[in-house]
Amino acid sequence: MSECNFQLLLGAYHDRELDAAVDRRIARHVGECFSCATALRGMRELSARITTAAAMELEADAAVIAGMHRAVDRAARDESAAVDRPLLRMAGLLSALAASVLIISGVWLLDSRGDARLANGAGAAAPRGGDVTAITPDWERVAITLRAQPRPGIGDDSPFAPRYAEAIHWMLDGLIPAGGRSEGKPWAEPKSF
Amino acid sequence: MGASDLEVWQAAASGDHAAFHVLVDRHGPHLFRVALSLSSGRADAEDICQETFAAAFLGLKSFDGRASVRTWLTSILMRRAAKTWKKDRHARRAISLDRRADDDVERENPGGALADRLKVDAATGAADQRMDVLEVIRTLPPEFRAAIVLREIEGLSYQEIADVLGVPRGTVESRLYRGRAELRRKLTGY
Repeated sequence: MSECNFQLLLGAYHDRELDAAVDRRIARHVGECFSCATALRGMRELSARITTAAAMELEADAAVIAGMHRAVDRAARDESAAVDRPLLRMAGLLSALAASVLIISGVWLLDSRGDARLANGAGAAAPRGGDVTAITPDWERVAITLRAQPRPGIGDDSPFAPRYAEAIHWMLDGLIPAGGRSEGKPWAEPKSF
Repeated sequence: MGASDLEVWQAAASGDHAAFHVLVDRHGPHLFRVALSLSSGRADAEDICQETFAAAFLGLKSFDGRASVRTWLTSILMRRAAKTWKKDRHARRAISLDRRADDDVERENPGGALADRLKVDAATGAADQRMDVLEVIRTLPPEFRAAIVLREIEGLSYQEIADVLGVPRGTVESRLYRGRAELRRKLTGY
């Protein structure tokens, strides 16, 4: 069967989607064209068949419609529950924040204790309760360290010792009245160190 | 005469939940027909309809009233059906492997394999014939199937179908033309 150009419009003609003028033109053509008349008849039969099948087989029973109503009721409940959701979300956020602060503080505390033990040579092998410096505050630990380890070069035999001694005497001379100074020298020769 | 769809929608949108149930009663049956035509089974169709009405209820305020309530609900349903279609794609791929042999036969003899299958069913009576028309519609490519279902079963106009599917009117016309041709081809000899 040869296809007529009007067949492209037959679907719209069948569905009554054409404007009046084109509709009349197609109607005239279908009356004269065997190919288009056959195609149109086929379309009408097909539509009737689908409509009949749909009416017979696709009916929704009461249980199906009741299911839709229940779905809407569930959605309504979910929606009202969602109103409280921002508050819950905020509470959750604050809890998470508090937990984070707690964890970070705990880690920092443990870390600083570990540093203290290392600085005092306590380490993991320190006797329990024997090394007080392991738990002393920073400032006290610094003081203990300075006392235990005096500056190098003072009081030993290193070549720098006389220079330190000179410097100390020079500073002391500045505090003593002029008459008290040693003759001919800005500062006295150190006797011994 | 009862309130129009738009009036009922306005009542529902302003907080009257009972009003929305009126829309369910009015449009539930035809939405179910569309869902059943597009999906593989009754259970899927029920799920799609329930999801459609739940989504519509939650999105009541998103409806701008430019299209009809029916078009709006149908467009939600089509999106839900497409999601279900995508979700089941893997399952359908597995089935299509089984059907490939039939398709090969059909390619050599267009409409033959399916027509033969339907002929066997036709022997069991007219009720099966009616069901088989719907079965053949379900075998069409999704875009043709949607256009045919919306036109033939839902009776939507070309413009309404275009709105629902989000495509130009000319595309609807073309899909209907090709879909009907495909449908006739598959039903040849039946």
